[in-house]
Amino acid sequence: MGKSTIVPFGPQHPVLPEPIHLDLELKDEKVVKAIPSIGYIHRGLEKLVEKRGFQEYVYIAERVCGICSFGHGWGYSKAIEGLMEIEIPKRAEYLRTIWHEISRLHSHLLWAGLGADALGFESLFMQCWRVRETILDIIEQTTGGRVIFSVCKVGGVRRDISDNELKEIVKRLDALKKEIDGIAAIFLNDETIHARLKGVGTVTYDEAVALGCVGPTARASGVPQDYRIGDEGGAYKELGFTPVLATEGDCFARVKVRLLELYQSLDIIKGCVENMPAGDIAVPVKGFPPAAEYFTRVEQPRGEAVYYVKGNKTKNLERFRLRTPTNANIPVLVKMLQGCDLADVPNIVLTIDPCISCCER
Amino acid sequence: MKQIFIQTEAADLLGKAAQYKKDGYRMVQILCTRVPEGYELTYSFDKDYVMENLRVIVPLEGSVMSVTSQYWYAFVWENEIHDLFGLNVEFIAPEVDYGGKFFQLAKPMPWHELSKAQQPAAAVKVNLRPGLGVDASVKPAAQAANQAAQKPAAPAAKPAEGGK
Repeated sequence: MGKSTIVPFGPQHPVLPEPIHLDLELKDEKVVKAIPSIGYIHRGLEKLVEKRGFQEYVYIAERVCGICSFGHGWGYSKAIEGLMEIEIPKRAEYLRTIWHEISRLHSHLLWAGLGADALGFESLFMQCWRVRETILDIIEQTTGGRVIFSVCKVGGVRRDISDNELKEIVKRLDALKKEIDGIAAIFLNDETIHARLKGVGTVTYDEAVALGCVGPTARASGVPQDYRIGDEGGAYKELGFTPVLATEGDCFARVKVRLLELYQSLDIIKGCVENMPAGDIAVPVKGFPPAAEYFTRVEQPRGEAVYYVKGNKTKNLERFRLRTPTNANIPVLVKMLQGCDLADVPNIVLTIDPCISCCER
Repeated sequence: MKQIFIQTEAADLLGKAAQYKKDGYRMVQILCTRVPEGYELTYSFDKDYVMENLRVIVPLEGSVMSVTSQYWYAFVWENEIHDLFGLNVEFIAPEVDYGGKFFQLAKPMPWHELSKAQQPAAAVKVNLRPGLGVDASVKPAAQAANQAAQKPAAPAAKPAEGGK
């Protein structure tokens, strides 16, 4: 063993789409310790709630992140609806579920592309992003935007999707399923991918529980934790939901869970279309949020996100807090990196699917 | 979603966190809000998708014990609260104490000040003669009434002098 060396990883790094910094303490090629620091894109968005009206803030909540933007708008709206005791129409709940699952497809495919790129698999990266393009087209067709949806509002949704449009979306998603089959087959059967990801960055069930990780990172270690099970909003309870699990806990298991979740999202969207209730898509919202507080949660593509709002009888909220999934997955990342090879650091970092914009807000 | 808030003292926090851990709860988040009394901290714990929230008030110059001895991963939220609000968190394990360097911020403790809505009403500057540079301060009604009440009563009028 040689003497220890500190190697900085990030904030600018080829595999990182967003800036996070890790000080890696190395002994030869092995990482002994990883020290994270964040804040390069801290925008203070939580604080902005004091200056924007509670209805207007939905647009800002959506801009916390460009990938799980719909989920943030939904989580914030759900928190305000809970605070003001607003019951939204069933159709709005189903439409929100459809858009949220489309977001998950978009997020997981984007991540799969980035993962392939980090492995040096350029053609797979391009295939993943080509398939993702169909999802972006569906988002544009139904909301008018490709990244920021702006369809969620306090009291329901802004736009409806007609029954014909819904049937057409299902047809397009059926065709997409075959494309996903092709991508999944490469990820799950390619020997190079096995060699790079199997047995790397392993987190056992007990470690996953002790480190409080969330989302596919937790589920890849066998922890059956998915807020869609307990979600009273959306259509999950009515459609029935069982989380995708793996038990190996390594980088490959995290890839597998995300790929299988693509199929699950397609099934949820189909279920929503088949059982779509008729009726209104929003209820009018009157008055200001009361002097009270409310917590709610949403299962984002990267894991559970927690939303907190505190009203004070004015149009501005006193406090908004968002605990994002990446925020909860930093500790497990620190533990995963201990003892790994320096060459495996990019893959390990990417398999938690870090979203630094969300993490720093 | 059921909302459960349990008020507790800062001194009891670690004991209660240890009990939650023993009962199989997962720590979900720590929330800090600046309030006129200091810092309002909310520690959230989850079991079977039901969340319980411990509420602690810490005075402005006070400090709070870190819960990383029970929930190691809480260091992310504790360091965030320290860096954004300036609350002193007493860490036991030195490896999770970032000493104010977890968040790379341009301005230290940007959320330390109370929000405008929470600050006591201040005098509002009004330009009485726009363009002439004549300004006046208008006190809020409650503040003006208080000052009037504290003013000593005017002395009784002196008897008229002179004249027979």
